[in-house]
Amino acid sequence: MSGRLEPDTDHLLEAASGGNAQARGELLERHRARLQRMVGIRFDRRLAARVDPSDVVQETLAEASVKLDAYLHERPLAFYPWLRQIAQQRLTDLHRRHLLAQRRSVSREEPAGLPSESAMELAERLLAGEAPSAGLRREEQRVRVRQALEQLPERDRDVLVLRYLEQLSTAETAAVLGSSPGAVRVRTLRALQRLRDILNTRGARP
Amino acid sequence: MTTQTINPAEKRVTELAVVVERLTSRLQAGEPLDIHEIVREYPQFAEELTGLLPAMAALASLPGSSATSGVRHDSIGGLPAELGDYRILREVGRGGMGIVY
Repeated sequence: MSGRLEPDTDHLLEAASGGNAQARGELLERHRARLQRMVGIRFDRRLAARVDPSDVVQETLAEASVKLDAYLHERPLAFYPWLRQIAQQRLTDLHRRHLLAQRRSVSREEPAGLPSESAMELAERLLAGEAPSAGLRREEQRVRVRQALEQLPERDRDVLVLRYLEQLSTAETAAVLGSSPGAVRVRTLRALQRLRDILNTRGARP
Repeated sequence: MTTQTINPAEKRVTELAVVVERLTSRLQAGEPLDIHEIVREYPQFAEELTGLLPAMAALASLPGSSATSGVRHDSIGGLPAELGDYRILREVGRGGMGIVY
């Protein structure tokens, strides 16, 4: 590896606090891909015809840029969880605005809570690897896993989506959930156990 | 290490949770995990891990690189290439009321 050394986020935060404009820009830009991932997962596909997920990311970064000074001053939480919080709020507002307005046209089968896209995404992941029961057809698996996820308590679903889909670290997940890393570890374990149990009992496979 | 008394069952859960975290990191780093090897590595959790690993492996199996993150972004204008049962071919038009696909 011979490229220039990338300053880590802490250094960038330091430099940005000192008023370094380039550091500010880079600080935001380097988290774009992660935000894109998060928005992709959380974005309700019923919005797709009206809103471009990339715009949500762009607007998040713009808002973060405006709020950056206040953030740097207080640093209430780690940088990415802070950025993510802004994106989450924008998504919540968007979903509220668009989906409440067209509530009548929204299918009643859509689960509340986690947008269906998230459930789908998680199901995709479960299916992409060695599927627990290879005998089942892919399509059936998809439905099964999706249903299993919807059956999980929201607590469990939340932590699995954060850890495995958004790929947040334990510490970041703790920051997002207002919890401790130790609690997140145990909660992840419990959620995995329940997911496994639901899949095993529902499957009744030969 | 503090000497707070916790019961053995609780201690076991905490330890297993740490192992799961460790294995999750390895999975997310793209490391293929061999169940036999892992059972040898953590014999005390053999049974639990055998139950949990297939689900964990599947969860972590999509590429973690940002390029293929979240929704598939081999897409038009940042939209996923597929939406449910539909495949997006191209953008038809864009106007004040939204975008037509």
